Amino acid sequence: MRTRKRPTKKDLRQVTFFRYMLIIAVIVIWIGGISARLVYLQVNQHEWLKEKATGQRIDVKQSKMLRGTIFDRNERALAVSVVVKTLFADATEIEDIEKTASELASLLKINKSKIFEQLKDGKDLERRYVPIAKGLDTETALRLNAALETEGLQKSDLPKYPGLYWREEQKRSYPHQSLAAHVIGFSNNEGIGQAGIEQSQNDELYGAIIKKTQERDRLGRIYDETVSEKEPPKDIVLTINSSIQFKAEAALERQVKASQARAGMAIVLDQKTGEILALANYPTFDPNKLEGITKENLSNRCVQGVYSPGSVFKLVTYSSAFERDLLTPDSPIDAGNGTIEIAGHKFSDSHSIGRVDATKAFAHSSNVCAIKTSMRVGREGFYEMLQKYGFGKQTGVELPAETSGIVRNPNKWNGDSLASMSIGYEIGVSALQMATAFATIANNGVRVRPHIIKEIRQSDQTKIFEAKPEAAQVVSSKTAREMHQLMRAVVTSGTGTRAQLNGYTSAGKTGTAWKFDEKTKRISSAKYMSTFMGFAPLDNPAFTIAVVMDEPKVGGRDGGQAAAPVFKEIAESVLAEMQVPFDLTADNQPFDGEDVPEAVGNGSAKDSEPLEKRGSDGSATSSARSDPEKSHTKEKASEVPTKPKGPNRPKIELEQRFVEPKDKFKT
Amino acid sequence: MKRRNVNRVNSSRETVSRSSFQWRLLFLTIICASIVAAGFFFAARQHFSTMEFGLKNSKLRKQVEDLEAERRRLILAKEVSLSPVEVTRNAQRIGLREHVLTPPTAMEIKDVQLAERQSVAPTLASLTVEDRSETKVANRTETKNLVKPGVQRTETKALVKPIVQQTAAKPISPDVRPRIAEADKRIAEASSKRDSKFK
Repeated sequence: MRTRKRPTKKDLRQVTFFRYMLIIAVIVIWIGGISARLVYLQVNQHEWLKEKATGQRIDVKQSKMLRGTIFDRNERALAVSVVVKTLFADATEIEDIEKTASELASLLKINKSKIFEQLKDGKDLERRYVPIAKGLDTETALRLNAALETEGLQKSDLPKYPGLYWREEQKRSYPHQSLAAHVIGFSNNEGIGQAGIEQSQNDELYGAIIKKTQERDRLGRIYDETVSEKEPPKDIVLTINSSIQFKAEAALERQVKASQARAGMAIVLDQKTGEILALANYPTFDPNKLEGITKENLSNRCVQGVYSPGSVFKLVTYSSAFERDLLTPDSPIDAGNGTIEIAGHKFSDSHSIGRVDATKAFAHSSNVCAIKTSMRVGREGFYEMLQKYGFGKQTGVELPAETSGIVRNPNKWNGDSLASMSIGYEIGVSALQMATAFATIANNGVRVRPHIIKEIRQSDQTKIFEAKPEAAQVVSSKTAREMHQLMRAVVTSGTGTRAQLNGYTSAGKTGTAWKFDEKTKRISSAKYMSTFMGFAPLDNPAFTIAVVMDEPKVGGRDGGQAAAPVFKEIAESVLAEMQVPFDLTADNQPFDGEDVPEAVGNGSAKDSEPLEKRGSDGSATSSARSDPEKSHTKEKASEVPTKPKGPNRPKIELEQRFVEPKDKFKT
Repeated sequence: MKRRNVNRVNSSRETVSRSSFQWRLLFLTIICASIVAAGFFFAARQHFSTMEFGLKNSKLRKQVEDLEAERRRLILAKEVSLSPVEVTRNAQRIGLREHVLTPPTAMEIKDVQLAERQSVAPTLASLTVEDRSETKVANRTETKNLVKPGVQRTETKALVKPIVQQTAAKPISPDVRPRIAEADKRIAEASSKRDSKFK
């Protein structure tokens, strides 16, 4: 029998080695193949693959930061931007337009054929943006997302419906509608301010466009985001008090409608700080509805309009005389027969008051006495006082297109210019400039620059700017006190008795000025600017109020009848709201009597000289040719004094009917 | 024979040394492979946790944006509902009318002040002779300023009472600022408390 040869150790080792090498070879070939493929992909295909990966992974989105919010002084939002969504379609991704259109029409309750047309046009033109619904809020968006969700559709963005996407936009809302509309202004669709604070502070409020680079995974989830650094928009806090603003606007609107005036203005100022608590214009507009805006209701007359102030300007005349110690409230001034001729021009009073003290002359708004006072002051002195009060230049309020008014240099004045200016003609002022002058007197002669912005801050409440306006002593406190006395007399026994307040003392001045007619290019005695400006209470005034009525047609047209009731209504409601203690006592109980008519006009009649003979600034020059007696009679006849309409007050049976205001300020 | 033994002895030593080297090599290979595997594992974990943090971060960022948008929307809704136009409209709809505050006149204030003084005036019996004469003089001066009996006085007690309290012996100091600042402070504090709830 043949025996099998047993395998030797050498044979076993060889076999083991062979198998080992075989495994190694397989591994080497396998790894080599993979490596070769890796090298091919990462070296040869590098750019293409990188581009594809970046395109899949990275998404660049542009969005606009929300425009800054405008608040009132009590943190009430007056203008705020909110996020709204626009549903749009990428027409190239929609396969079944009919189905998409019918679903959208049923959900959005809009015309199906209209959407169908839009989508069809978009698909034909390969449009990737076809807006379907704009300005939708978040709730509506969520409802639509839920309704449009398609099962089984792999899509990273909402809604989960083929071809439909959301785009975020912002919408500017003004929740208080027409409240302080002229102050706030409005912004357009691009988020650029067009009027008011929206315009003047556009740089602070503007929400810049930021770029967001987002990295997404294969499921479309964002795992990394880079936002380009941009200055965030800021919030603005105004000095406006919404409540006072509302009261001022309501009172102004009522009176403008009642007197069928063309327009009205009202300003409430805190004279100590220069803060504007209310700035009202009528007619007004709703910034939410820009379709209703016209040039007439868009104009902010308080700061942009120029007008001849009339008798309220006597504040400057008398204060300049007091400041130079040329007069005291008790100094006698002879009004004569109620007319005065200066450089061939006759100025007249509404009624002759004879020889009176300065207080009564001011209270009865005598033109003759004011002119005589200005003559004593002189041109240079008067002009210097004009400048100190801030006339002829902008107040610096943070509203756009503020006028500086019209004040001519003395070397361009005519012979009767000083006389005209002393009674508020041949000069153009804005309501804010005039209100600031009165606030100066209310503030013991210190003029504080009026401002409407309280602070500017970032969204995290960090203050960037806080208003600290400049103050300047215009007249001495002694002069201011003397003017208080004069202005008190206007209300107690003068032309402004309708500005008497229930429970409070008040002081002010009326003004009634003929207006410059744009059509005839002449001063028209048929058109008036009726003004009342004053403050309350007399001692430690809480605020200063200025009211101007433009062309009142019905009822009394002078300042005491057209504008003073608005002052009264605003002052009483605001003082009550601020819980200011009553200060009206039997000692300072005002006179309850008949209206005192105001001297109107500078003597120029209706058919005064044409535009060519006017001054270079367009103001009226004074060269009346009409009979002053006739015009005087006309004015007197038209202003039949009527009893003031108000609550019936029991008459005080004292020793005298006429109560002289007690001079608390005399030293 | 010795050679054979020597050979045998030599080959066994080599075998022993070769096998121990192989074991050491194998052990080293296992350790290196473990380190590499652990490294891969650690890197993978970091990668996935980074992805997870990134996702959470973007979700939170989205949440912050949504909350900010919601806050603005709520502020807008609050202001719209509190706007004077809206309040007036709603009040008129439920039948309310605007109440116009009519502060009393100086005469009415004077009447109340007089009434107050009289109510605290001591009775005659409790006064000494000197006091009585002083009171008589005081009363005489008070009556001078009173309205004549013929004139009707309106009933203003209910209206005037709070005003009397308001004017009770509080001198108006020139240093007392207008009430704007105090009212503003109160309102601002109340608003900030309200707004902090929304934040």
